[in-house]
This record gives sequence, C-alpha cells and structure tokens, in this order.
Amino acid sequence: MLSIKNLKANIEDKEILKGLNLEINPGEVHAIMGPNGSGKSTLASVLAGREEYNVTEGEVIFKGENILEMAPEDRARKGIFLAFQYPIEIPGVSNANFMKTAVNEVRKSKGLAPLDSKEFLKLMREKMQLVQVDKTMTQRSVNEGFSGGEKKRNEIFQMAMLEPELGVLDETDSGLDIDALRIVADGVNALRDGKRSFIVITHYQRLLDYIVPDFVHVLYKGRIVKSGTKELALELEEKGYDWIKEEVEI
Amino acid sequence: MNTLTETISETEQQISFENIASEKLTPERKLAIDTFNRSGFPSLKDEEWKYLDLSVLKNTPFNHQAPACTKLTLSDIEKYKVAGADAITLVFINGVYCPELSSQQRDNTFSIESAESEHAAHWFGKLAKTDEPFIALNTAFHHGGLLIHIKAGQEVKQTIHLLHFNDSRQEAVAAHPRNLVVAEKNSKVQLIATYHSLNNFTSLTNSVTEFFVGENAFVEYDVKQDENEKALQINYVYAQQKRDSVFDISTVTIGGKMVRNNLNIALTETGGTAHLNGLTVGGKNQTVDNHTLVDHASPHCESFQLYKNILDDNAHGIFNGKIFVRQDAQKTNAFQSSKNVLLSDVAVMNAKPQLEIYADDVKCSHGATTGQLDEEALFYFRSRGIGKKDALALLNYAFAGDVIEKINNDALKADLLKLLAQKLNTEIEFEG
Repeated sequence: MLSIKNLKANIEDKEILKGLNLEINPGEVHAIMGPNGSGKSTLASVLAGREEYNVTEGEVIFKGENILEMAPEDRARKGIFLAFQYPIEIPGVSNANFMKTAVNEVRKSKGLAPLDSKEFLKLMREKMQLVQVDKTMTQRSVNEGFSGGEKKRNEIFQMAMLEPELGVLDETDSGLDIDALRIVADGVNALRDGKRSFIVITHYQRLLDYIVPDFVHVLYKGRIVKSGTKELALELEEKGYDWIKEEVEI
Repeated sequence: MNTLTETISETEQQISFENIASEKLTPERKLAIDTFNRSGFPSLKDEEWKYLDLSVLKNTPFNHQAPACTKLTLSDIEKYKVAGADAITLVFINGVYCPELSSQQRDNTFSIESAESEHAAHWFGKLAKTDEPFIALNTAFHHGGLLIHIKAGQEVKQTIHLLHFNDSRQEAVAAHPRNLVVAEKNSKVQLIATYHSLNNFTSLTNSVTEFFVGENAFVEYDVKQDENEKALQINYVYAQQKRDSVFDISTVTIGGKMVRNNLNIALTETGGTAHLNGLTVGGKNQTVDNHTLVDHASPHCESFQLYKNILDDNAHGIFNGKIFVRQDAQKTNAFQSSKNVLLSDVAVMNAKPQLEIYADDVKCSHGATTGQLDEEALFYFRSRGIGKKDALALLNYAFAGDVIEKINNDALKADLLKLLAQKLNTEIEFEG
C-alpha cells in the first residue's frame, strides 16, 4: 500500500531525512519511535505534503502512485490522513461545518454525491461515539479552546469521519493522561479493520500497550536503523536509545 | 422637467446650478453650493482624506439630476430584495424615492414623508453639516429623500429596507440620497440599506443619513454595499443618541470601486450604547475607507467597534477610528478593534486608531492588527481534503464571520453569507 524508498528531505537547507525506506501492507500498524530530532515528525509532514519540506531524493508510492508531487488535498482525497501533533485552532468555523466540507470534498473526488444534512448528521453521530466526542464539541469552532485531550480526540474523530486508508498519527499520545490515551487508542483500534493501515509515531512505549503494532521501527538521524516487533518497543522503554546509537555509530 | 447640471472647471472645481427652476433653488441649496465652492473637494493634504485618491470622482462630469423612477420596474427590483426577510422595501433610484416601486406599510408604528417637509425641517441637517464638502454637495443636490419617523413606544415589526440604485447605464450619474430616521422614546426599529449600481459609466452615490435615537430607543442599521467596479460611493451616517438608547450599525462592503464611509456617533446623554461593526472584502482595484468618530459626551456610555478587512489583489483598505471622550464622560467604556488580512503582496491597509480622552475614570482600548493568511491553518484544511481555494474561502469566512454574526437579522445574515461566498469564489455553503 505504501512504499517509501530512499526518501531524503530538507527543511531550510538542513537535511532531516537521509534515505528512509519503509514498506507498509494493508491492515498493518507500524510504530515509529526514536529520540528527539531523529526526523519522526518530518516523515509525517512529508507524507501529508507540508510545503516547507523539500524532498530532494527518493519516492513515496501510495496505492501505485508517487504522491510527492501531489497537493496535500489530493493526498487526503486519495486516503492519507495525518493526525496532527499540534492541531490548529480555527475560530469561526464550527467543527461540524469543517467536517461536512471535508467529507463532501473527499466524496466529490471519488465521484460520490455529497451527503445532505441528514445523512451527514447520522454519520457524525455514529463516529462521535467512537472517541466520546459530544455534541458541544462539534458545534464549537475547530479546536478553539479545546483541552489537549479534546484536540487529540478531535483528530481521531476527523480520521473516523474521513475513513482514510492510511492514518499517520504524529505523537497523538503526547500530553495525554492515561484516561485520554485510552479513549484515543480505543478510537484508533475501532478503525482497524484489517485493510486500513497506520503509522503510529510516538515517543512513549505506553501507547503501544493500547495500540498494538505489527512492527516497530527506530528512526535515528533520518534513517530507520532498526526494525522489529512490539518487543522492540519494550526493550527501548527499558534501555533507552543509547544502545541503538552505539550500534549505529559502530 | 428641469435639470440640475454641473460644470466643473478643472482647476477650480467649481460646481454651479444650471437650468433649475427658481422655486426649487432654495436658499439652503444655494448656500450649500456656495459653501462647497469655497472649499472644493477634499484633497490628499486634508488629514481626514489623506489616504484616499478622489481623482476619478473629481474628473468625472456627473449628471446630478438624472431621470429616476421610470428606469427600473418592479421585477428588476425583485432580486435585490433580501430573500426571506419580512421587510417593507423603500426604493430609491438615483437618490429619488420611488413610491410606485416601494412596498406599502402594514401598520402605523411609523410614518414616512419627504425629508424636505416642514415637519422634517426640525431634524434636517442638524447633524450633517455643510462644512463637509460632500455633505454640502448632497444638501445642494439631494432629491427630497424620506423622513422615517417611528412613534414613541412602538416596535416596528418589519425590517425597513432602503434599497438604493444608481443607474449609470446612459450617463455618469451622481445620486444624492438624503434620509432622516427619527426613533422616538422607547421605540424599536431595524433598518437595512443596500446599495447597488448598474453602470456603463462611472457613478457616484453620495448618501447622507441622519439618525435621531430617542430615550431608551433601539435602532439597528445594517448596510450592504454591493455596487460594481465603476461605482464610487461616499456615505455619511450620523447618529445622535439620547439617554439609555442603543444604536447598532454594521457596514458590509463587498462591491464598489471606491467606497468612503463616514460614521459619526454622538452619545449625548447618559447610558447610551453604540456598536459599530464593519467588514470589507476588497479585490482588484477596490479602495474602501471607513472613518468612524464616536463622541462620548456623557457619562456611563459604551461603544464597541469591530472593523475587519480582507484585502486581495491590489485592494486598498483604510480604517480611521476616532474615539473622543469628553471631560464629563466619566465611566465611559470605549473599545475599538481593527483586524485585517492581506491576501496578496500588493494589497495595502492603513489603520489609524485615535483616542482623545479628557475624562479620568474611563475604560478605553484600541488595537489594530494586519497580517497575512495563516499558512498553518490553510495546511490543516488542505490535509483534510479541502482544496486550496475552498480552504482559503473557509478561513476568510471564519475571519469575517464574527462581524456578520453581530447582525440581528437572520435573512440578511444568510444573504450576506451567500454574497461573501460568491466574492470569495467558493461553492461551499457558509453557515450562519
């Protein structure tokens, strides 16, 4: 489904990704861990098409197409969803209106008729339950005045609404207490249907107790330097990253 | 029919009456034209006009008394009405009130008559003085206009819609609408003014409206300026507020080549409240200038100003907001905010707040911000599958929305959101 080959990317002439390779099949959950500054969030941004990042080499093939030349909205319509590390507050646009516009834009790109208000409300009600989003949250402006946990729940809610084929979660667990983490993880797990894939970027092994990954990768200095299964995450939790750094430097 | 025509000598900008029947040429009109000719048009050297280039206006030979009411039919008017509004529509073409195109009153909570009547003389020109050149011009050339008089203790249930057309299809027309609104004690009324134009030639609409808001009266006046790219507009609104009265005005400017709004509010007695809101969405070759003056002349009054500009292409926005707090006006609350977004590198915004405070126990604040579009927010929208153009429109709508939210008329609100979507070039339906 997703094939990243030798991906190199700069921001402001500083090379962050230095030849990253990753293969993801339908239905798989890949966790990406790594010390600060290793390029985790850059990977998420490059996949979603953030324009500040400049891809200098490599390719990202999603469902048979190189997406690197695509606009962010086209990637989203094709089925890539980025859950932001820091969701943006947008005063003046209600969450519901935002989602209605987004859902219908995605539908339009697939040649589907837009949902009318009634159909949309039905869909929204169904998805709201997944991440315990209540009605007031959908009526409020996008993320405005939301707590950290509400913002992250809102990201997962949006993902549920848009039903992507690949969800990229950029440190969705950061700043969440254990209850909020559980809600978010339950939401993600409910979206695991054997076909949808996830890239879960995290700093903490804790999240992976709730969203159990098929693979764990360690990103260091812009490359994936070690891959394993969920046991690797536990090992990292216990021993930190120094042993990996040592392995790489040798 | 007698016509008023002007001759402008290029160097001196003298305007005179020609071919006008002597009985129409009242001493007031003669005096006004003399006053105008002494001052001439304002220039860029004039502090109050320093950002606004009036050269097109000065150099266009306008007809000040073009034919009016026969120019349009009822069906022409229909689409300019506010859909879904329960409104009485009063139609003005080239500044002339056209009763045959206007709707009938449903009740007698208010009365209308010529603003030149003996009864109207009690108010006419009491606020709008001819030392302002454009008011002098209006006073010289206006076409009678209306006095709308709301009786004491009455609430006008219908919205009163003043629908203004400038028809400059055959020639360059200067229209001078002149209206008075008197809201007596404990009355309540909501008025809308919309300005439209049909142009092959440059048009000028030079509108003057005076409001007299009685004790504990509530007046809301919402203005939609939707003229086209050959239209020039100068618009003066004066309001004098008595004790515990409320005057709310929202001015939404979407169309017009050049628009200058002058809003003057006088809080003359204790307990008055005024809200002044403005939204400008300016594009190619548009200049929109909002000048406000709130005169706090009495204690315990409040004024709130929120002005926003969205400027694309080479649009030019100007905001000059003056708050004057006199020595006696203790316990004044006066707030002003000017927020602006520039969508292109060549759009220009001049924002100038001015506070003059002579009382010592007051709360006043002002702020002006001008920024670019929030790229992060734009990316957020695009990452959800919303195209760049629509994302931009949604963000601009979000920015503009809180001004439109202040309007208490749902039909007008919906109408403005539709117009806003059109101007922002999106098919997304905005929610009210």
